[in-house]
Amino acid sequence: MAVSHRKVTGNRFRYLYSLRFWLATFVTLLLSVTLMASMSLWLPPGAAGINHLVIPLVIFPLIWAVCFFYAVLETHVIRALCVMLSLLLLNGGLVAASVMGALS
Amino acid sequence: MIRVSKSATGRLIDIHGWTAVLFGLALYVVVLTGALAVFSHEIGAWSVGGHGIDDALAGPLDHRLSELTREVPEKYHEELTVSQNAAGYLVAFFHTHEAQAGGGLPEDVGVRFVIDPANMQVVSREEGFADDLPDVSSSFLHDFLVDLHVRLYTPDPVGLYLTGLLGLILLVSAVSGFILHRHLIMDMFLSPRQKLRELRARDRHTLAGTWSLLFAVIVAFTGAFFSFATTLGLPVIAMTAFEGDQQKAIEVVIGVPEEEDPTPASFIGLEPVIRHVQTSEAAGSLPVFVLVEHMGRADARITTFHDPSDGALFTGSHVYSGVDGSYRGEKPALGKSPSLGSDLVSLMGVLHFGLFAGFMSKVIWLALGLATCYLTYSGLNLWCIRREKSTGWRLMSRLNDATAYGTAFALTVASAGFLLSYGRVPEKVVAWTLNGFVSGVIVSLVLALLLPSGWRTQQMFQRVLGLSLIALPVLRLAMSPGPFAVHGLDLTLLISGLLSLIAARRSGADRLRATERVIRQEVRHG
Repeated sequence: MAVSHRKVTGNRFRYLYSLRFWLATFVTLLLSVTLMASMSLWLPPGAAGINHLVIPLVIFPLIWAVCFFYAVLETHVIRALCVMLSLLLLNGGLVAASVMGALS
Repeated sequence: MIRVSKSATGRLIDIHGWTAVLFGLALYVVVLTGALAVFSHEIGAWSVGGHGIDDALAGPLDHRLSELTREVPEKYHEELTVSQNAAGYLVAFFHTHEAQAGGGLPEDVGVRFVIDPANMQVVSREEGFADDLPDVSSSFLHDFLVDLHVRLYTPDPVGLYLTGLLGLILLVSAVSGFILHRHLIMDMFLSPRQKLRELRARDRHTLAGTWSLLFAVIVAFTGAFFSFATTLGLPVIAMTAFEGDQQKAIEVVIGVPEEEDPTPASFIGLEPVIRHVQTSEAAGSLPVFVLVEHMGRADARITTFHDPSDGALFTGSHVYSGVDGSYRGEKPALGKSPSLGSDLVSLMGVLHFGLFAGFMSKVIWLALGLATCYLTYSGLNLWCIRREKSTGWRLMSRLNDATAYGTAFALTVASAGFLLSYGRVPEKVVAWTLNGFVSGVIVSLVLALLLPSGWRTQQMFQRVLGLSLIALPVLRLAMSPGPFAVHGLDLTLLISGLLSLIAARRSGADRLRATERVIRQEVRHG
C-alpha cells in the first residue's frame, strides 16, 4: 500500500524530480535575468548612449524563451546543465564584478 | 515541417497542455480585454454617448491653464501634462516628484484638473500622489478595461508580474504549438472534421492557432516586455550599470537634459506651440499628449506626443522652448538622439497596440485577438474532452465555459453599471461598474456550476451573452444623449449579440441532429 502511494505521488509530481524541469524554470529565469544584466555591460552604447541599457530590456522575453526551449529541447540534459551553468557563472561573475565596483 | 525527437515531442505536449491548464483561464481574460482594449478609446467615447470635440487640445487652452497655474502651489509648476481622455474631457496634471512617506522612488504628486472643453469649466480638482488620486469617472469604463488587461486590476507590481508571466506563457504555448503542429501552410486551410467531437475540436483549435500564431508571438513578446521592463528589467539594469540608482537609470534612458536654468521667465503658453506642431514643418498632426517642464523658468520645455501619422510607423514627439516657443526638433522616444534602442521600444508599442496601419490594423488586431481567445478556450476544452470521465476535469470544463463566456458577459454588465450610473449618480460610477463586473462573474460561475456540463451550458451562456450584448446599445441610447452608432459600436454590439443568439440556436440544432443520428443507429442495430 505504501509502495502504491509512493508510486502515485511520484507520478503526479514527477516533474519536481526532473533536472530538466528545474533547468527550464528556475535556472532559465535566473540565467535570462543575469544575461539581461550583463548585456548592459558589454553591448555597445551607440551614439545616443542608451542601446546597451534598452536593448537588453526589449529582448528579455526572447532571451527567456531561447533559454527555456533550449532546456526543453536539448537531447542531453547534462549538456544543457553544463551550458546553462557556464553561461550563468560567466555572466553572473561579470554582473557581480560590476555591482562590487571592480569594473569602474 | 519541424522534426523533433519523440521524447522532446512528449515534453512539448506536456508543456503545451499544462501551461493551458494552469494559466489558460487568466490568459483568456488578459487576451480578451487586450483585444477589446485596441478600441478602448472608442469604447470610452461610446460609454458617454460620444463627444463632438475630438480636438480639444487645439482649442483655447491658455487662458484657463494660466488661471489654474496661479491657483496651484508653485512646487507643482515643475511639470504639467495635458491630454484628452476617452470621454473627451481635458485632464491637466500639475505635479512634481516626491517619494511617498515609506520611501522608494520619487512619484508624481500634484493637482489634477478635469476640464470640460466645451466651456473650459473645471469638472473636478484632486490633489495627491498620482497613483492615489480617485479615478476620473467620465473615462472609467475605458480605464477599467485597460487596467484589467494591463494588471488584471491588481496593484503594482504584482499585476504587472502576473501579466508578464502570462505573456511568457502565451509565447511558450504559441511556439510549442508551432513545433507540434507540423504542417503550417496546410493547417491554414484545414476543414474541421464533423464526425467526431474530439476531432472537430482539435481541427478548430489547430485552424485558429495557425492563423493567429504570428499575432500570438508578437503580442506575447511585446506584452511581456511592457510588463517586465519597469518592474524587473530597469531595477536589474540600474543595479548593474548605475550602482542601484534607478532614478539615474530612468533619466539616462528617457534623455532628461542635464543643464538646468532656474532663472524666472514668462511661459509662452501651449496654443502657439500646438498650432505650429500641426504644420508640415513639425509633426503635421494634433498631439495626443503634451508635457510642460519647468514652467515659468528660462529652461522651460514643451514636448508634444503624437500617434503615428499617415505613412509613418512610429509615434513621434516634438520639442519646443517654453519661453519663446521656438521649435527644437523631433525627439526620439528614448535618449537624446536617434538610436536602435529607441526605435525598438517604439516598435514594441506600435506592434502591441496594432497602430501600424491605422484603423485597419486595429480591426485585424481585434480579430486576431478574438481568434487567440478562441485558441485558449478550445485548447483547454480539448484537454478536458479527452479526460471527461474524471470529475475534476469536468469541473475544469465548466470553469473554462464560465471564463470564456463569463468574462465577456461580466464586461457587458460592467458597461451597463457604468451607463446606469454615469448620467444619474456620476460619483458612484466606479462602484457601479466594478459591482457590475463582479455580478457578471458570479452569475457566470453559478450558471456554470448549476447547469449540467456540456453543450447545454454553452448554449445558455451564448443566449445570456447575446441578450446582454443586444441590451447594451438600448441601455446606452436610453441613458446618454448621444446619437445611435457612436463609432459604430452600437451596431457592432447588436450584430455580435445576434450572432451569439444564432450560435446558440445552431448548437442546439446540431446537437439535436446528432442525438437523432445516434437513436437511428441504435434502432437500426436493434
